[in-house]
Amino acid sequence: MEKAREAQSRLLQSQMSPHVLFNALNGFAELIHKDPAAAEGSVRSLAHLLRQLLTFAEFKVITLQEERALVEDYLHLEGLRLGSRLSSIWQWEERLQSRLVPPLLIQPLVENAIKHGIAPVKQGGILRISIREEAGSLLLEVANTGSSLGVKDGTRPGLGLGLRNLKDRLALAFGPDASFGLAEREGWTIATISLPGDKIAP
Amino acid sequence: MSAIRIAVVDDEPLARERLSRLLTELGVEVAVELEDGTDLLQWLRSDGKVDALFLDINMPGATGLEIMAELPPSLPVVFVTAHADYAVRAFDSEAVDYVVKPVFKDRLERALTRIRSRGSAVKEGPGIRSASQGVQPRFPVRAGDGHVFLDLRKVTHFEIDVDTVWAWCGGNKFKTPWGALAEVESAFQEACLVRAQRHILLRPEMVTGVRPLPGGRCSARMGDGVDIPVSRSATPRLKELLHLR
Repeated sequence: MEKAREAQSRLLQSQMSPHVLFNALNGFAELIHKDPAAAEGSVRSLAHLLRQLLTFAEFKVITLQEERALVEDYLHLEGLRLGSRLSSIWQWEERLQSRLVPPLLIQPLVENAIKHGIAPVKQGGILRISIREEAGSLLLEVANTGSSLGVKDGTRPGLGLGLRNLKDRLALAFGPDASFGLAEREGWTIATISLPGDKIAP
Repeated sequence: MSAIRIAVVDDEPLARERLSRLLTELGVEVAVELEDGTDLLQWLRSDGKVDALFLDINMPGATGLEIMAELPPSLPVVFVTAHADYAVRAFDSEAVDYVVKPVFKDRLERALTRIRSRGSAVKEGPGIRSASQGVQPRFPVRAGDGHVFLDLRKVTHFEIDVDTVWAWCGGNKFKTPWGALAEVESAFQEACLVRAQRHILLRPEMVTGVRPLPGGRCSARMGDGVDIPVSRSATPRLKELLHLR
């Protein structure tokens, strides 16, 4: 029980940074004047995102499809802020999307990739989100171009709160069977979560 | 009054549009919209002229705070950001104002008032509420065997020693005619003086930075470089006057 409570509290802590919300509201306030229909769409995305975040705190697992819907709403808000500087690619094996996983595994990685990789760069960058199966493991991967994290040269500061929480939540849910890694390859910064594929229903 | 000419610097297109539209509606001339600090410095170097800047803090490349250090000190800067937690550093850097997103017209109007009052008045630290309006701002202090008149707007704080109130100004203290801090408070009722400690009254306009201290207290850095510890009971009032929440 203790473990479950801890996981829940870490989940709540790992939710969206407040400045993302305030930036989004600043955008909404302008869209209301400029493009009311787009403003309404954005309010819908935000409402959906907030509802999902509240609901997911109650669940131990959700489908990857549900996680994707949440990430899409999140990207909608960030797209409002970053405009054409943010583009995203989904490499999504649909046969895997009914897999059940702990909530908010992909969203914090996306938030991180935008914050450290794409937003700091004037021309922006590309976000690539993929799920696939490899050697019996389920791999969730978020990759981005743009600013380097300095993984290779060791200049990167320690993991942020969001990523530390993510690692702790993985450990609480799967013990040593799950892993999290950050790497840099050919201009991409790649965050990968590896889950024990066979232990996850269905 | 001629229109204030400003530059808007923000990497987010919608945020730029919003600031420009609202400021234009407030009668400001938006001379240029720029995406980041590097563009701003380049624009200023190529003879761009403005009366004030509205500057985002988190931008690609240098942050707004870093950019401010490169700017001429006479150019008023208003920071506009979604992060409330840069406020102390912003005041340290002598920003005229610090506006949090989402931004609205009434708040920008207040920022413009601060820019205008800064342009005409003596430069007096961060542009917080201009407390000296409507107040007789001069008072006599002892000088040799005569008196000179000191301007309240140059005073950082008042200090009582037994039954003498001293006015601190430019790092020196001057003997005032008062015998209690309460008399100073009643002489300048509209001046928003803050009782930082039992024996000190400080003028928030002269605070250039605030740092938290243990136990809910804080330390106020005054314009002349002196740090004054502020009691736990006075800290919320000071923060309120400095718009730090």
